[in-house]
Amino acid sequence: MRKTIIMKAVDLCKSFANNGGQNHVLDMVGLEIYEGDFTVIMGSSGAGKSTLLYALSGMDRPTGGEVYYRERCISHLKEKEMAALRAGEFGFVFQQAHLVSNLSLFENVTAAGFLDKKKSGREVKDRAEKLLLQMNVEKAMNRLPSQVSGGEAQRAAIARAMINEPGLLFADEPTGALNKRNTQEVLNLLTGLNEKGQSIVMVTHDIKAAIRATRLLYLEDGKVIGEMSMPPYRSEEAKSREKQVDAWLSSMEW
Amino acid sequence: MVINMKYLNLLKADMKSQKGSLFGIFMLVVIITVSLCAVLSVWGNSNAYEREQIDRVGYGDMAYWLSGVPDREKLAEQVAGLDEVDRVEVEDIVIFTRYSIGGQSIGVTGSLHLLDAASGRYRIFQENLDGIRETPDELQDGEIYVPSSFCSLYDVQAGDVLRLAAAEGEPEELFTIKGFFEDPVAGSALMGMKEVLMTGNDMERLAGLLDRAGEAAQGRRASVFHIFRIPDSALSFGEFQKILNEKTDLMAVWGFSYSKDTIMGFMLILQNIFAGFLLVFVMILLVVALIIIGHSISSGIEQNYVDMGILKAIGYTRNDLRIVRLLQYMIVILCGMAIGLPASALVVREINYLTVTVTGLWIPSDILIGNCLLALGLILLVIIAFICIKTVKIGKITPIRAIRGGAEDVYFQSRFMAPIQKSGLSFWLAYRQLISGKKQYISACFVASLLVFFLSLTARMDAWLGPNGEGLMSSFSASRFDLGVARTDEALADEIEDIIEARAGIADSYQFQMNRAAVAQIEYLMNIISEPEYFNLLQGRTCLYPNEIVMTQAVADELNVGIGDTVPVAFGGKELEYIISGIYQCANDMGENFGISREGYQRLLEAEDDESSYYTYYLFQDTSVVEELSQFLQENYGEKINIDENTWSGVDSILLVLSVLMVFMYVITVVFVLITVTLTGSKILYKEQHDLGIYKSLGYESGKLRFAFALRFGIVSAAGAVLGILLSGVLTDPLASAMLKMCGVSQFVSSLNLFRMVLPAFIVSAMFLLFAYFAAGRVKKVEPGILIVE
Repeated sequence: MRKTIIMKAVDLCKSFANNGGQNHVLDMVGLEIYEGDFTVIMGSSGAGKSTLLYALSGMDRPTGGEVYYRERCISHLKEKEMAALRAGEFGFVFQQAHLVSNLSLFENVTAAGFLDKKKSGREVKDRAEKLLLQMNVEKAMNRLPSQVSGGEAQRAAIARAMINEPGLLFADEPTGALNKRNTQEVLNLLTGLNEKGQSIVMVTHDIKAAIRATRLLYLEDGKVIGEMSMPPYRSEEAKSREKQVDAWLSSMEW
Repeated sequence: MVINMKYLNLLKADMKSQKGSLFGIFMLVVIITVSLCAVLSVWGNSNAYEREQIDRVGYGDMAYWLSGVPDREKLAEQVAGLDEVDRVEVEDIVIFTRYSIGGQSIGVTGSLHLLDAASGRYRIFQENLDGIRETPDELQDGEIYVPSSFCSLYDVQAGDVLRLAAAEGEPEELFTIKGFFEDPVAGSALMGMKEVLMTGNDMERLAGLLDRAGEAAQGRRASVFHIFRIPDSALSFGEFQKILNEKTDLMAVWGFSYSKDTIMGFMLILQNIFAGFLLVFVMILLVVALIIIGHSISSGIEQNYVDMGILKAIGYTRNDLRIVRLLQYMIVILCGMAIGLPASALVVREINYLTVTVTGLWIPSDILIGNCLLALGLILLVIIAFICIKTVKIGKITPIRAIRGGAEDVYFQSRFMAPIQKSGLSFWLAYRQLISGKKQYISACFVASLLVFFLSLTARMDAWLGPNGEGLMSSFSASRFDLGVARTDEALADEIEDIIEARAGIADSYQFQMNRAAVAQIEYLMNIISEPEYFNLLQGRTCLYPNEIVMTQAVADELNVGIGDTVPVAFGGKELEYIISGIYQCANDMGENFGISREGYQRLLEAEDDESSYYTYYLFQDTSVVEELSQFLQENYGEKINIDENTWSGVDSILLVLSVLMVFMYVITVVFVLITVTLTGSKILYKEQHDLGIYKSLGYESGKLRFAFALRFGIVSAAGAVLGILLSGVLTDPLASAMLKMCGVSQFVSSLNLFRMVLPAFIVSAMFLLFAYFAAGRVKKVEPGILIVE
């Protein structure tokens, strides 16, 4: 079955000025993201994984090249159009939870939901409650971010990213700041979402996280140099997938 | 030297990182210094200059304007013979009670005194009223010099003509205005009495015409007795006058008298009131500046919390860090003062130039360095103490605590928190941010409340004054009335009354006149009324019986008497005892007056009460036609009547100055709001960059975030504004009463005009909102990329 391309990057470049010179973090990257995939981007430290994710999600503007979302070029959108895209089509989970510090977890979720003009306030609140329940943080939902654990905060951040039923969910090392137990919980949540059809692009350097992917991309020196597809994740296959990913990464000289 | 270098390095770094905030404080200090030094200098210069000039023109410690003195040399000798008197100088003048200028007939607001210009005592203004001529042109017959206040009062210029007639129906004598002179005795636009300089020939000719006009004369010959106390006399002006009146025949002759202090009070009334008013404003600005400095210090400490912890770790002490803070603010404040002080000279010059047609004086524009430095020194001490207190918290920073995360905000649940809602999302986000970080907004709230308080106070005073100064006039009038008419021809009485009845409807009428009499040997203005219940009574009851009088609080204080006391009243050589039945309000003669019923006054008369000397004061059913009716009567009856419209020439000047002050205060307020918002706003934005990045990553537009940011200041300033309105409601009356006491208004009760009261609050809140929106422009520059952790 032919997969639908949800996002495409063409000759994507991102450079930073560095001591009078240019540091090319992304160098003419071309890639496609398919609908329903759990795409994981891996690479060595400094390879440009997060930079690629931010460029794809519109959080950061690329220096060159184009990004297409559902065949619409989003690289040169105006601020207002970009904001609408973030609010309606993209969800983003950061390495840190990045919750607004003076809003409760519930309000952090609704603050994003209220931007959806099609839903009433009541509908947003109902959905937020449902998501927080699903993320298992319903008991902490009225607390401020400073009053909850890192895992709870990150799960609330995932609920926030999902509130507007995004076409594409981006996650930048979402388990990077979590302990082992919380890491598993968050990864299970993301896997569960993908099983229900949610397209996800995640950056990670953790093999235990990478095995959740249905497609792996390997980034080196600002270029995608490897790719591997896998069937949807099943917990009983975790060990074998880990070996498979490990072997693939070794072949990429990781 | 090592110590100095240690401070210098930190100082340079701190000032660089805080340059925006320090620049804002610098601007505030410049504004405060300019305002304060300008007010102190204008006030000090005008008082000193007025004293110098009144001495220079030879005004006595007491001056008696006397007419019909049987033997003035003998009277002068009698006065000069008193032990308390050093010398007496007599000046011949001619007094006119009616004149016209620039087509306006003037006969109500005061008398015109013609002086001999040959005395050379008076200084002549340059053509554009921008200085004093060194060698003024001598007057020719038919030419006059008039006070500069004629420009603001009657809109005249050199070349215009002043007309005088010895009696009604007599040919008018025309005098061309050659220029303007500086009159320290009656030159202020706020004084009804006026003086003009003319040649001795003209004066003698006019006096002759008046002599020939006899009873019908509209003026008279008079003499001014300038009486000087012996050097180093311990007598007050009041005591001195009392002795003169007791021991000489001065009171037996028609006339009136004013002490040097009273004249100075009249001349400086405007400067004194508004200097007081502006000083209060400057004090409020100073408090606002302290609030802003406090906010700047607190947020500076928060911003550099970690750095300070590190500095402590490498050996800097708490006091080292506090000294650096103190030094950086001192440098900025001293620079602001150093620039503000000389800059105030320009403001002083401009004020003096702009008010020369009101004050009538060419007040020096020098800066009173001593007074200003003293005031600035005091302010500096207050600021130093304030900074020392505000920097105490530096002592609480420990290296470990700073390095572990510094002073990052930890929010706690608040009882004021309300969940954010979809409808009005910007408002709810603003409200939440406000409640979470309320400490940061307290300064903006206080600034708004103080500014609104003062503007609201001014607005209340403005409302009290009324668009045409009616409020002030009612304070100056002894009694309530809409229009007064005095007739020279009694046959016109019925005719005029019929016209008034037809056009306005007469609700009531009574007789009124002003004269002068001595109470306990001190001369005061005497208000005589046929219906004493119309006096503006404050305490006690009105003078219903012929042996009673009412007096102002100022007179009661001066004589140290109260309701129920008995005082002697002397008039025309007769003296009788009267009981004080009440305290009333009348600011005429700076409150130096008393009221008496017509029956009470008649007891003092040797002859028949002259009906023609009374005005008939009317209270209208339809008060909207006052001006129109007055104009009609003036046009149709001209010089056969005198009209009192319950207005006063000085009111226009006060209204003008007040409106200029209002503009000035609003401009300063706008600048202060701008600086407050810029300083606090930039600090808050800096702290909230992270949250802004989160909101943007969620899809919030910059415009929405900017609006939510501005709304916080809108909400907080609105809350402050409400506080300001409440403060003005409580404090306006006592503050304004204290200020207005200087001009004889002993009781100030502000009127509640909702629109005028709310307008300043609205303007201040709108300014906060607007400037906060502009300040939040940098929200646009915050990208979600700020959240990227590589």
